[in-house]
Amino acid sequence: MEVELGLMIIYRLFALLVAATTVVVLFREGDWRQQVFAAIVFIPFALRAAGVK
Amino acid sequence: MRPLSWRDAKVRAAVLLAAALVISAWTGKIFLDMHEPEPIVAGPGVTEQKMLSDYGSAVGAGDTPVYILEGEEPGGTLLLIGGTHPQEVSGLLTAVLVIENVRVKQGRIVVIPQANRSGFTHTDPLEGFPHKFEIETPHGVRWFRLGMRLANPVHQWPDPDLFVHRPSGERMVGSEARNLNRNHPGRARGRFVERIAFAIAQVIRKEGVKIVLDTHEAYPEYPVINMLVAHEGAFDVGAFAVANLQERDIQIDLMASPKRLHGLSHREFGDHLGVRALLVETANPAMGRLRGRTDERLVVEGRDDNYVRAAKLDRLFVPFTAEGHPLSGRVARNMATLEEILSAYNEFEPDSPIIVEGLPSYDAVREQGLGPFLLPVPAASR
Repeated sequence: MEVELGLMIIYRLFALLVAATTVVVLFREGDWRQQVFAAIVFIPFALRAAGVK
Repeated sequence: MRPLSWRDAKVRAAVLLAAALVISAWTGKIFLDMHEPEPIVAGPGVTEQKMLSDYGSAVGAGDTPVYILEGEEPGGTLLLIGGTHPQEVSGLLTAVLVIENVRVKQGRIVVIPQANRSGFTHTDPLEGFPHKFEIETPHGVRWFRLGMRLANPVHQWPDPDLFVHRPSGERMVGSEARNLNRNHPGRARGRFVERIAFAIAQVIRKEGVKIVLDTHEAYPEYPVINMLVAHEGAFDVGAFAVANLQERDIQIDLMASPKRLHGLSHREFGDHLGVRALLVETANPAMGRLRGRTDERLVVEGRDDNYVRAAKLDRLFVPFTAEGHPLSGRVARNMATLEEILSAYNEFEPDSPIIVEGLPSYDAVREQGLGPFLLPVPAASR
């Protein structure tokens, strides 16, 4: 059970990392298409990082 | 100061991030709302209400109510399980109708209406399932949750590549690790779903259960349908019940629980707990691969033109007309099955019978629908 909890925490942290990366991309990119794509990718990873999904 | 413009990449980023956060919050609320259980009203026959965790197993988010209906005189004890697979909704509604209507005169009935509570908190991705459905009653609308066969991966993750059932050692596809009906009899210190299965086994042990009916549904193109599956220790009761149902023109067959198919209630409860174990299956078109639009109407009314066509092509294991298989008709079948199982059990165990009154009849549920048998929800529970 402790192993599973550890795996879940690592999974959530990775999801948080991806969500944070999309925010960085959003502000670095100049092309609106790349920005929209980053915003779309942000949504499921934010939910996973929050433990909702 | 320069006016804000969409052409400015930083402004665009801020607007898109704000939009993404709003959508995340909105969809996150939808996910979280699914954890709210439907209200179930303890009827006049409920003498005690417990939680699964009261039986000494750490079930966490799988904790779920256990209703006990006890008669004034001692007798046998039947366990009725609903919601092992939460999208198989006739099981939940059968359990709810028993909780809200039945009074036990002799013996006891123990009911677990949402056995896989975790499975009610999510739906299968890409299946387009509604999250709940409503039933009209004389007192207003009652809502019920529509979940998924497996436990929520939020509660048990990750799935193994290969699921090995304990104690049999049978190997199955990894996702079956989250299938409650592949994890019986469970383990006290196992994974989340194994612990829920163990807690249900503890209910059987501690409540002195003698006979179990686990309620399920299957899609119309699945061969094990309109079927009572019985452990060899329950053939006596199962055969009598099926014969009496057929006598009443209710088409149902008896199937022997396969001895080498492990983890299922009808196998493990009989093997490990020594009770008469039975499982009933009704036909639910909302679960099938041939179904059309999956909405509340399909779940409740059970009508689907695709299945009418499939029946004409002889591709189904049940008759399927334009009338479909409405939820009320499926619950009515379960009511008749429960009635005949109790009757048969009492024939074989005359010294410790289970005698009930108020069980909604097959004809009444079919003709009047489910609404008249659902109690009003107290304001505090809404």
